[in-house]
Amino acid sequence: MPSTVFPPPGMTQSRAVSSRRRRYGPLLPMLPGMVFLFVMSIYPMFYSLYTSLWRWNLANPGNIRFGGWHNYNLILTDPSFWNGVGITFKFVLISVSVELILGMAIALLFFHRFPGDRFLRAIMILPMVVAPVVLGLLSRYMLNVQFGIVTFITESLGLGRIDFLGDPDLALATLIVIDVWQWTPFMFLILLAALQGVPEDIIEAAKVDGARSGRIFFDHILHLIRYPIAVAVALRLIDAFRVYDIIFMTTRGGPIDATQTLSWQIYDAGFKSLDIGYAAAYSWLMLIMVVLTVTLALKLLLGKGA
Amino acid sequence: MQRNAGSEGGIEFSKVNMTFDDGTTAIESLDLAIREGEFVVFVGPSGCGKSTALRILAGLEQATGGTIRIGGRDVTDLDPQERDIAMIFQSYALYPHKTVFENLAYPLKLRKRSKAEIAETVAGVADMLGLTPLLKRKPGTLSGGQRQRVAMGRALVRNPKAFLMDEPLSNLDAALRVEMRGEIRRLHRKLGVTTVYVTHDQVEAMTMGDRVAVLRGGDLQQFDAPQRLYEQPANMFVASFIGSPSINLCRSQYDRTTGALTLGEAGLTLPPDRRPAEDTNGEVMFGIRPETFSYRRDPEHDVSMTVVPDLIESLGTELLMHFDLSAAPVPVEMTSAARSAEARLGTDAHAPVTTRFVAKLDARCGYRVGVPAEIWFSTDHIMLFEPSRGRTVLSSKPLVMPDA
Amino acid sequence: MAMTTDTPHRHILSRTNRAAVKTWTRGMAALIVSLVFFAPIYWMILTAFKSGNAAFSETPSLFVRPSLENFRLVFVQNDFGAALSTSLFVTTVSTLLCLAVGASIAYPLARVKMRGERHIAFWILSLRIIPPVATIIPLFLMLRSVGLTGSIWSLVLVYTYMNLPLTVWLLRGFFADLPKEIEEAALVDGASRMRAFFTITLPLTVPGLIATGLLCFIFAWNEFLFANILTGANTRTAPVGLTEYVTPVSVEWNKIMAAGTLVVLPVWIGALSVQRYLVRGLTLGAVK
Repeated sequence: MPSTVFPPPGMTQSRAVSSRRRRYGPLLPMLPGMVFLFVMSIYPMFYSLYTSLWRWNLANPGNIRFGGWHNYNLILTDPSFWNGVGITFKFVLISVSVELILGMAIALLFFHRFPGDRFLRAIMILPMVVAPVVLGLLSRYMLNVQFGIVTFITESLGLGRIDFLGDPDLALATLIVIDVWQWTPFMFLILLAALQGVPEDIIEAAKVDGARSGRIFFDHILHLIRYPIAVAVALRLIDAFRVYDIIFMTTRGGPIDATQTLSWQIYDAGFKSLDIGYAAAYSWLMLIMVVLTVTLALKLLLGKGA
Repeated sequence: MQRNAGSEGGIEFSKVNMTFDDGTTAIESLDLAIREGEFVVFVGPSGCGKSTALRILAGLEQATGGTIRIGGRDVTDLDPQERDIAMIFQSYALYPHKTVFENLAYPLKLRKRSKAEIAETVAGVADMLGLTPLLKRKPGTLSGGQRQRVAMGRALVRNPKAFLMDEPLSNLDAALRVEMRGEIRRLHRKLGVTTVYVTHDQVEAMTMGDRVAVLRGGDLQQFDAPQRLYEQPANMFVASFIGSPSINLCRSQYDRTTGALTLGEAGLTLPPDRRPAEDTNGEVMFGIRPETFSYRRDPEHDVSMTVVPDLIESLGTELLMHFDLSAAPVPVEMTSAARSAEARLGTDAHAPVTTRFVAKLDARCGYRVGVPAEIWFSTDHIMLFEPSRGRTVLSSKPLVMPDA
Repeated sequence: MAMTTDTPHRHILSRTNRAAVKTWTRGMAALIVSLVFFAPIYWMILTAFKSGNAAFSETPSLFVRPSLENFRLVFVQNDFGAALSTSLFVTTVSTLLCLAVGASIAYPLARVKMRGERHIAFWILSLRIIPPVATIIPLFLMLRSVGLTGSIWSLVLVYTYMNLPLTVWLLRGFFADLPKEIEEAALVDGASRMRAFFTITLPLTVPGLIATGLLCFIFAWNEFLFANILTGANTRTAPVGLTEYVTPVSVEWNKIMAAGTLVVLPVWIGALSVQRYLVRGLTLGAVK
């Protein structure tokens, strides 16, 4: 830029231009990525908002009519939607709470060093990077009523053959157990890192003050690591609402409708019934629920200041 | 070494303004001309704008108004790499993934110097700073002092128009700091490159600077040689910022017809050659430096006062004697904030209004806590400041006449 | 009270003993917990190495003579190699793309003073909250209108988009952690912003880039929903390929477990090799 090296005196315009260049030039690299993000997020959002207000079935493309709140009305008065809401919340809330509590317990177990702890911690990483599709298949294999290892164990314990995925009363609980198996390690790793980040001197000060370890934990440590806890819980809530792959590989929403989560129902409406207006409205209702739940959880965990 | 006027070969700030996006003003209309080859120190309490001024000079921040010239060239709109300056950062900012040699070579490599030339220049600088045995090491393995030297070396390898140093010694321990202070001064004398040095430490400023710019809240308070800052501060803030222990300050009443100065219950008469300008009358702020007191009467200490010390701190050959003077303290906001803790807070309404004073005396005085002691001073050392803005109306008599 | 000189010594001894017992019990408990989490994985790998009908035996055996037969069949009969290489391609390209685009957004966010910087960062992160199932239909229709459905490039785009919020957020943290004086020193030393970024900033953030890249890789590699919908018969990724082993007629568990092991193995190796950075990545930097 030879013109800006020696700006001629009085050329205020070139100064303004070069000043703007210095100010906004560094932001230039953001542009392509931001445009990409915008196109990939905003367009589908508006598109989905738009279609949600129409009666729009891909199987019947000649008959697209404006429906207003029609789809929303239809969903909100449909008992199977409310059933889905109940199933989803049961799944999400139980899984995440169990994962949090178990994860914390295991983190406390690993908090003090013992020989081999690094190796065992590495093993604990493995479940959460297993592809959900693989995990779904593995669960089916292990829970198979004829030759599954779990069946072998229940039989040898005298409990008989239990169809964990085929029994409407057990299917959801089984899915929760699978989720807990996969994601407790996530909570564990984060909580362990958080615990290790607590300043030693605070714990020591509390000890000198005469607090027992239980008290130290509930009075001080929980408070000090509330931020990582909140982030971990929020991330898990978001992911738990998405649960799909496992259901696809195991129960496919069944038996009957025992594991029809919202994700599953939306997928069904969109890609089986091809009713994209209905599916879009469904998605919006679900998004609202996710946002509300995560916000509420963060408020609860971080207090009013959040 | 030829010393030119500011705009010729040195550095010039003219009407430089800096307002951040959040609306805070870091620098207000700064005018400053640094002569070529001069060692100038920017000093002030934290948040005074000294670092911002340096970063604007380096091109790391864009001033919101005004012009910067380096060596006569307008650099206001140039990027740092176009300004031909070298900088030493407080954190040293060494490149952790490069060896000491590569750190030193980096500025030369960017200027596309030949391999042989780079090797020769780096070897020369490394030799000068005693870094030769460390060239193959990475910064992470060096001690604080060694890192500081590498940072200096990286600035020295090329021949910049100016060295900028942002608190380069604040991460060193006290002994090393004093040693490096001398070394930087020696290097400057040898190379004669214009240097701007930022520090919050007034001792560093006084010992290192040819001239010192005292800043406060984005305003330049005074730009002068160290001795003049000490003897003829422009205002009460500079007077209180320069010198350790800090200058003693209290409110007083001055009668211009008689020359009488009243400090609480005490009083003295200023001789005709030591009176402030004609329009001064009524309330003035009184200041006297702790080290101008003496325990003996002599021709240079001919005014006495009797005080009761309540704390005596020994410094070896000298001691610090603390006492209360029954005069009202000056407003804290007119002094250097960091030292304002010495002003007593008037929590008890019934307590007599007093001000903390300190006298630095010869340790042989033999004074003890609780025992009334007589101390002597001279009207030559009294400073007076006008009460509204703190401007100096009477400065102390210079010990050494400054060269014209 | 005459014996007081003796007590401190005995007390210390008993304390060390107690501590040793505690460490032992803790270690044993941790071992059992880890085994519970490891058992299904072990079972999968074991089955993958079982031959013939051993997988369907009603009395399971915990150890087998390992056979590579299942792995061979998976490649020869089912052409799982094609699915794996599609996965590898899509995942690698989208990860690299994500890092490049992510860095170009994250770096200015971390370094350039701008108004609303936090709002932009939060907006990008908030995209993560949208369930994929909610955007999949509009995305599908959008990609179909530009003729990309069935092509692996549609997956590359979707995965890049899917991982971008996480990438931007993480890289922003890694860039912000790098003392800005180091870059400023480079600028003053005479480097252009570009040069400073590529010779100073980037080499110093390599660990962060690796950790972020690995997470992108894992998420894209394991992804199923989009892959199932956006790929055609010739562009199946490994997770989609896996589902085809399950037919109403026969379920070949040995081969499924072998294929599953093949899917899981690469990400295990990756995860274990950089586990130190993994935690930070997983919490979006909430734990450092």
